[in-house]
Parts: sequence; C-alpha cells; structure tokens
Amino acid sequence: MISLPTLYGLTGVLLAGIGLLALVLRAHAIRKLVGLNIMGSGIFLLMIALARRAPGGAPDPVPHAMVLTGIVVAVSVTAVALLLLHQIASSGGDAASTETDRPAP
Amino acid sequence: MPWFDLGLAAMLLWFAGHAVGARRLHASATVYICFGLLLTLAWVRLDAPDLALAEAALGAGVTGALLLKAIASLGSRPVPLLVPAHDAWRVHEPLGGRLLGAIALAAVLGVVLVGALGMAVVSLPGEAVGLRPEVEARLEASGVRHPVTAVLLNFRGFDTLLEIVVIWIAGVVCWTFPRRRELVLRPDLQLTSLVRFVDPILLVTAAYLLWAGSRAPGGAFQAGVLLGAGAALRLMAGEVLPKAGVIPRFLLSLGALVFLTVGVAAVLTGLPFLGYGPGDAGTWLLVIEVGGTLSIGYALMLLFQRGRGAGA
Repeated sequence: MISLPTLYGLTGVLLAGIGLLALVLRAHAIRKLVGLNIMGSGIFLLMIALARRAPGGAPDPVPHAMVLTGIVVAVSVTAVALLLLHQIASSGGDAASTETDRPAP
Repeated sequence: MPWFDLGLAAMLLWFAGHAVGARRLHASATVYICFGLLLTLAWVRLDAPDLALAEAALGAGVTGALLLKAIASLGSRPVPLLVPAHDAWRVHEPLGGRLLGAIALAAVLGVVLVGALGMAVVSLPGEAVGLRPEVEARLEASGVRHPVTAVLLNFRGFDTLLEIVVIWIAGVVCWTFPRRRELVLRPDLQLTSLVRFVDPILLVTAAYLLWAGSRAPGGAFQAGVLLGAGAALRLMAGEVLPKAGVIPRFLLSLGALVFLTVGVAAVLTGLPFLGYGPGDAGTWLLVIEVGGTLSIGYALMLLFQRGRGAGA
C-alpha cells in the first residue's frame, strides 16, 4: 500500500532522471530541450506530491503557486531557446553543435 | 492499492522515456504533448486544479505547438536539420566524442540525482502541515477567496511580478531577432470555420477564468494562456499580426507596468512595496490580473508567431 505523495514523488524523481539523461546524452538541441522540460516536470511533480502531505485534505498552496510560476517560466525558456535555435540555423549552424562559422573552402 | 495512480505513473515514465528516445524528432514532440496531457491528470489526482489548467494549456499545448513548429521550420532549411536515423545516443562533441565516458558521466549523475532525491522522498514524514495554516489565517485579508490565487498574487506577489517580467523579456527577445521569411501557412477552409466557432468560446472562457480566479481555480495565468492559445489558432488560420508600433509594445508591457505601478503607488501612500490597504486588496489584485492576462496572451501570440511582422 503506497501513499499518493510517495508514489508521485518517486515518479517525479525518476522523470527528473530521464530528463537529465536526455540532456547529457542526446546531441540534437531540440531533444535536449524536451529532456529539460521533462526534468522540470519531474521536479514539479515532486514538489506537488510533497505538498499533498498536508493533513485534512486540502494541500499546501504555496508550492502550487511556485510550480505555476515554474511552468510559465519553463514555457518562456523553451520558446526563447527555440528562437535562438532558429537563429543559429539561419546563420548556418546546425542543431547538434553551435558552431556558426562556415568551414574554409 | 491505488491502481489508477500506479498505472498513471507508469504511463508517465513510459511516455517520457519515449519522448526522449524516439528516433524521429516529430515523434518526440508528439509524444511530449501526450506526456503533458497525462501530467494534467496527475495534477488533478494531486488536488492541483490550477496546475492542471495551466499544464493542459501551456505544458502540453503551447510547448508542443512550439516544438512542432520549430521542427517543421528547421526541416525546411536547405541543409536539412531533421537529423536522420543515425541520430542515436551519441555524445555532444565537447565531451571528446568518447561515448563510454559520456554514458558513465550520465549514469553517475543520474544515480546521484535519483538516489538522493528518492531516498529523501521515502524518508520524509507522511504528513506535513506546510504553510497552509498561515495562508488560511490570512486569507480574509488577502482580497481573494482562493488560497493559491492569494499566495500567487498577494503573499508571493513579488515572485509573480518577476514572472511577468520574464514573460516580457521573452517577448522583447522575440522582437530583437531580425525579420526572416516565415513558414507560410495556407489558410484552410475547415480550420478557418473551426476557428470562427471556437475563438469566441475561448475568449469568454478566458474572461470567466480570470473572474473566477478569486474564489476558485483560475486566475490571470490560465486566462492569459487561453487568450494566447486562441491567438495561436487564429494565426494558424491565416490571420496576420499587426506591425510593430506603440500598441503591441504597450500590450506586451502592460502586465509588468501595472504590477509595478501598483507596487510603487503603495510605497507612495506609506505602505510597503506591493502592500495593500485594508479592504483594497481585492480591487488591486483584479487590476493586476487584467494587465497580466493581456500581457501573457500577447506574449504567447508573439512567441508563437516568432517575430514576424513586428521587426523593430
């Protein structure tokens, strides 16, 4: 019999691990971004799972507000990162490295 | 035995693994959208309806749409950036190209992170009061009746101010990039008809969420995201953003400006920064929320559009 906070807390931790692995091991920038987002989602899940341990039914609202802020910031970061990636691509770089100098002919 | 939650947790892990491990980028983004929707269910199970609203719209919807759009436009470059099938688990160059070393590093980091956090989760007490009693004690004075909104806009209002500034920065960064030829979307009759039907519903729902946020899950962020989603739909159906000028800049900055003005006005009347007089808080919070909603909606529309039609 496993409690909801522990179950979702461990799930969040594992998700963070999956995201971290993707961030380190994948070469393509968009995959790294997806990994970063998953890592963030895992940490949020951990925080909200822990917030649900409040006795009496209603959860602790402070982590909820913090995670809401976190979701919005994560989306902003993803959007700006994609903008930068597009700019790198336009300047001749490719998505698996950030070199934009064209090789000497 | 919480079978539903066990199943949901297993699916979350499976979808996350698939999102990072998929061969094709397009599959990666699509599975990530599904992951976001499953995460919405997890928020509901954890009694976090505000987060569920935000996750469904932002985490699954906006992030997924941005990823798909980026993959599509990267793929249309002369040099294809949709890395072909050999984009397997290989190392980023600066690590020296030694695959084994990178896997070892990742394994160590992963084990340390998962192990330490996992042990912490398991060893924490099953019940923790947290800050709920303090929030409930001051809820009357906060101006709203929903605890999460009270924390977000009043007790931790400074964090929310900074968050709105972050969104503003994202919009400004969008405008600093030079105009470039954008992916041209041919408006589709079915999509246009659908958007004509759905868009008013989205607007009314956004207004409702903004108003309802004072006593139920909802508030400025959820409403703003709906506005942004409606705008993204209209963009996909062929609408063109107005050119840069005073009004777009004003709309983007409105949230931060209103919040700052309210905070500074408080200082001028003798209260602390972002303090509120007795009984005033509800009105000021609504004013701040309206500004925030418009700014968030506009910023999302801008980010989705990626700077087209708004060159400096």
